[in-house]
Amino acid sequence: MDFIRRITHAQRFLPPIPAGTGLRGLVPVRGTAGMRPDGRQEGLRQAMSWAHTWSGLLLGWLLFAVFLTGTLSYVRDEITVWMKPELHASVADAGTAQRALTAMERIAPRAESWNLVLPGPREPAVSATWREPGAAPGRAGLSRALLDAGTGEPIAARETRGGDFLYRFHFELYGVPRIWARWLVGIATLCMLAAIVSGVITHKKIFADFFAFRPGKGQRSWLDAHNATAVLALPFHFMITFSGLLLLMFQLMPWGIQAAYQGDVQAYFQERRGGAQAQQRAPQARAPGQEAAPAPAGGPEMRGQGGRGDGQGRQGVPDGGMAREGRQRPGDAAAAPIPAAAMPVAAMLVHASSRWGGAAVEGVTVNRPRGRPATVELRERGSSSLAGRGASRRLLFDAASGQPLPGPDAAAPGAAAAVYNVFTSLHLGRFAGPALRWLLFLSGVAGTLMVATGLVLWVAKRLPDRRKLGRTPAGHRLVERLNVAAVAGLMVAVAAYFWLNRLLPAGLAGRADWEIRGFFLAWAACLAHAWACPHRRAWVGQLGLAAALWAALPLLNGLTGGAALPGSMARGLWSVAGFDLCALATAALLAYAAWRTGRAAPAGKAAGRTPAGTAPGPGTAAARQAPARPSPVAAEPVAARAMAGEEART
Amino acid sequence: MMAWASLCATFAALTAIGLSMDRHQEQMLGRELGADAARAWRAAGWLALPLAAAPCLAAWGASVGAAAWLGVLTGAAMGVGLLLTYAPRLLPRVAAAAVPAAAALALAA
Repeated sequence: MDFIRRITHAQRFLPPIPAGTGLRGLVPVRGTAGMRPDGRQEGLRQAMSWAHTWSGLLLGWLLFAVFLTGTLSYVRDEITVWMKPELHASVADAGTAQRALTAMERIAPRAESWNLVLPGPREPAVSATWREPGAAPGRAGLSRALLDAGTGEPIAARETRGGDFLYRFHFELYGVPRIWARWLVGIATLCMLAAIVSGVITHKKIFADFFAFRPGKGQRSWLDAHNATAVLALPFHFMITFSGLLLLMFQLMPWGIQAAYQGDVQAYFQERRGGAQAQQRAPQARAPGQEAAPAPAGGPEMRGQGGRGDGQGRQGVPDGGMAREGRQRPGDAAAAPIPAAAMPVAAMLVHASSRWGGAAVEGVTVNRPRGRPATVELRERGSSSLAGRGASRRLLFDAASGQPLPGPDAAAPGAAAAVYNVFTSLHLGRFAGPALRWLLFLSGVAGTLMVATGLVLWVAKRLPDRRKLGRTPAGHRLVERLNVAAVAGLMVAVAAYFWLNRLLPAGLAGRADWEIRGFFLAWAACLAHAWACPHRRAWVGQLGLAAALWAALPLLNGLTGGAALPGSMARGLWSVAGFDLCALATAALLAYAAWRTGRAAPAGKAAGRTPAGTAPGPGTAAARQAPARPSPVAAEPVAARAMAGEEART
Repeated sequence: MMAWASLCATFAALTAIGLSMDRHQEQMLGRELGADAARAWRAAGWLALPLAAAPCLAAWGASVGAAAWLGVLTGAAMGVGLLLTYAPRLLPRVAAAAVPAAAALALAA
């Protein structure tokens, strides 16, 4: 706390803060510039508090949406699976890889490579990609199919953006030019970072009140909840905003790269990827072997010694180059094609798994220059290091004999690239196993609650002023309405997105777009509702509606072709069961919030105990309880409680 | 397993740090401890924190382990905060039980 004392001493060297004015009550009017009621000079902490309040409020609505959809992105694969109920019947077993390869022979006989992502804890079906001869380079030229793990048959899943829409929304928004949206989110992220730093400085008793939460005390409780969700998850918040900025760095500050590479930004990314790590997957690519763009630096040298005979003395086939193998080896037309059924895939899987200490195999890539299988590459599920940015171990096998072949070593990334990789992988949670994913998810929930409590706090804090004034300034009313729509309204909109996924006919043209339009229509309707209704009624109505929508999701899932709840748990289909359980937990929190908001208002029970006298004005009680609920998918009591504004430290 | 060991140890360490703060002493014990005792708890807590990270680092390596521990830290801190709010007298006992639990979990893994 010494440093805080020192900081407050620094106040007198700082220029006075300009007096804020006007905007019809939105911006605080400071009485005498730079003076506090007790006559002392405004200090650094007041300046920070001012910065914190206003940067937080103005971007808080956007930040809430970014945090909520970003938190949901940790489970985006699960969301996508839930939104494709056709996949729920797929059950994997030991023969899945073999069946899928046999099916691929039928589906894509001429492709030069097949890439399979085998079913795992997060996906029940096999996802296959391949490139037809002559297809466009890059991702556009890839053909895709989902295969039933039990039969190998292709599954016609409904068209949906699934969890990817929420993921994209959290950094690109929607319907706005991508560049602008990234700028906007980037600026909001910058403000978030500033708000975190200024918030820590502002928090006078950060050490004395470290764990404190004092429930049922109106504004005090909101402040405690805001502090608790912020301070207790501070390392996470700092990591996620800082790494978010790093991820947007190339967007926000491209000048260095543009200058060094004469405007060819693509060349920079290729060189970084290729030079540092020939092995590694491109960001977000699920099918590394197919990711076109062979690394210019790593590729050719590493392929140098590739032998001609299948399986003999071949070394170093980098993954980017595999798809092109055919062109490199025109000589072996004589080799007999190997039917997929004859490939000893099961033995390769066992071999790989034992080499990797029991780690499962996630990916299978069959390289088949000119339609003849030559080698099979297996990829480990998960990754053991963040510095490699999701690069996982690989093994190469001869397709006919099943004998392991010497594989290329992954080059170690340089120090700067490693730091970038660690932070960005942290942000993306790419490496995360289930336990860690849950921890990140819950931290994300805490962040979502932090933003929501902060927004409500702004209103709660101004209630005494408002009471003194005898009327509600238009600016306060504006903030109240936007709070309801941004927090409760978004919970309704996300639920509506899931509902439309099941209610729109599976064959509807452009149904993926209609799901998204429905999401925004629901959100817009919530804004209109918040505008038309009194503050508390708007909170109660929207929280209640959101609770009902979330609570009915598991039912809807069972009735519209998905794996219903008790059965999915018994089968161990946790991606679907987990979604349904989280929906129920979210509904419970929303319902509790709606109930507290509705109840607390008239009686003012909680407020009665507040010495500072936050009377139960229309805004107060609602504000007090409302935001508590919007815990996204959160199942977790801590954040929930914090949100609910029940905990306070005294 | 290691994540749970780390969670128990972090929980105990944070409780010790809590015991070094006046307000939280009052909540947990009903009285304030002297300055020496507070200093001792603070030292114990801060020394225990890196120890509590060890199981995560051992299980996952430096980069993933550090990230995992940040998550564990958040979870443990939320737990301490909740108990301090709703069952403050229980907290020191739970924390005391968490110490052998952490050791057992770490050894069992």
